[in-house]
Amino acid sequence: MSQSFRCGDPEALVGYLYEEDSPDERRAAEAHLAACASCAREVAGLGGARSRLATWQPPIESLDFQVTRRPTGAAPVVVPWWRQPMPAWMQAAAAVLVFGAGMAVGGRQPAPASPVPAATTAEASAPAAVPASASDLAGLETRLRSEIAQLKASQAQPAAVVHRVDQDQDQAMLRRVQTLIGESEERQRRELALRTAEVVRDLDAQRRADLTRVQQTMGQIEGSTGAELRQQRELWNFLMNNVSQRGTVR
Amino acid sequence: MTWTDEELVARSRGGDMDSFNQLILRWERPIYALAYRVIGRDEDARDVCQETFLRAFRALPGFKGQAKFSSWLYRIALNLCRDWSRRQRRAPVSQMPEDADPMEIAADLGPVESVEDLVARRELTSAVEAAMAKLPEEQRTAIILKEYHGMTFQEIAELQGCPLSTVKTRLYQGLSVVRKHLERNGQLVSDVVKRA
Repeated sequence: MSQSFRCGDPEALVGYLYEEDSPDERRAAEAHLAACASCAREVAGLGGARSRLATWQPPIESLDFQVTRRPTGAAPVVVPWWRQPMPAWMQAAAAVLVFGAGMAVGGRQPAPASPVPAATTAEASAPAAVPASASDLAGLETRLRSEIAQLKASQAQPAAVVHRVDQDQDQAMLRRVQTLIGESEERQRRELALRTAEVVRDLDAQRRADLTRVQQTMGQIEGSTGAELRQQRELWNFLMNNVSQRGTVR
Repeated sequence: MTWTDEELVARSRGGDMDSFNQLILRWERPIYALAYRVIGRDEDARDVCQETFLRAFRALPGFKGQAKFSSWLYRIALNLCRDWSRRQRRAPVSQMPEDADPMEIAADLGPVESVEDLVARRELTSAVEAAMAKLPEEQRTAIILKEYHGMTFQEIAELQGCPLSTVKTRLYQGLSVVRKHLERNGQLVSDVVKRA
């Protein structure tokens, strides 16, 4: 079984490490690793490196990428001529035309039996048509006014929609900016906390180092003072011995 | 209802932009993490991530589903990372970005830690980043795809366009370098001693 596992083979070791080997290969590797300390050490070392790699994480950020359509303002929209808004002068001309047509319709009479020139016919029939055309004119005026009002309203409506959309976009942007500011403040607060912790740690380490140094110096001072005292004591003993010996000789 | 990647891709190809945005939402974090670990800079990683999805969106009509959508995205992202490395002509940055928040990272990794543990973890993270920055691009990418994205040897081989045995060799050599670097910095030996 162990013959299929070549000692120190990088590919086999990596296959075992990532558990991407076949059951047979795995059994062979386990048997070999149980017997070969060098390969076992290698696998353990690589496994340790793998476990350290897990600590490396990218910054946690929200990306919020989105594919959006190009804003309508960027590309001109082609509108057919009949749907384009009508200029004021054209509206006035149309009103005059409609008014004239209404006058003509209101003033029309049944054709006389005898042939009469058209101009004289119109002049003669005009006074007879006046009572009927007053109400028609009032109705026509009302209708024209309502149509013009509708036309103006229909022109004003898209602008209102666009404005509302813009307002929505502004509000969304405002919310986004507020969120970003909040996140930034939170990040700065945490960074400050971390920096403070580091400073405290450094101060603590410095304090410990100073204490150790002071203790060492005190020990040295105590050692040197003790040595001087011992020398003085020995000198004193020597002198006392000499004095006592001289007294004895006398 | 949760759509699969394939379903969302099909709907996106039909012009449904919301479906593609769902794909972005699903994959932006892994792609960003890949770019960040390969490049080492937060802002550049964001740019790469954004460009990845932009290219994917443009190339969507040509994507016939011959590979998994995620593999396709990873390939685009890795190509962009490679372009970035060539443009910059330098090794990946090993230090953490300024706005990285180790406390937040640590908070995501486990329960509340003491300040000492937090600082130790930060030192370990820095050592790991420095070790990874030492690796050649191929080894570094192979380790990232294996360790952080859980890809198989075969998937890595397809992404890197190399034989399976080459992937294993890259992983072995890369891990060996990381191990030695961590041992030199006392990040691995100390733990071994503790265990002993």
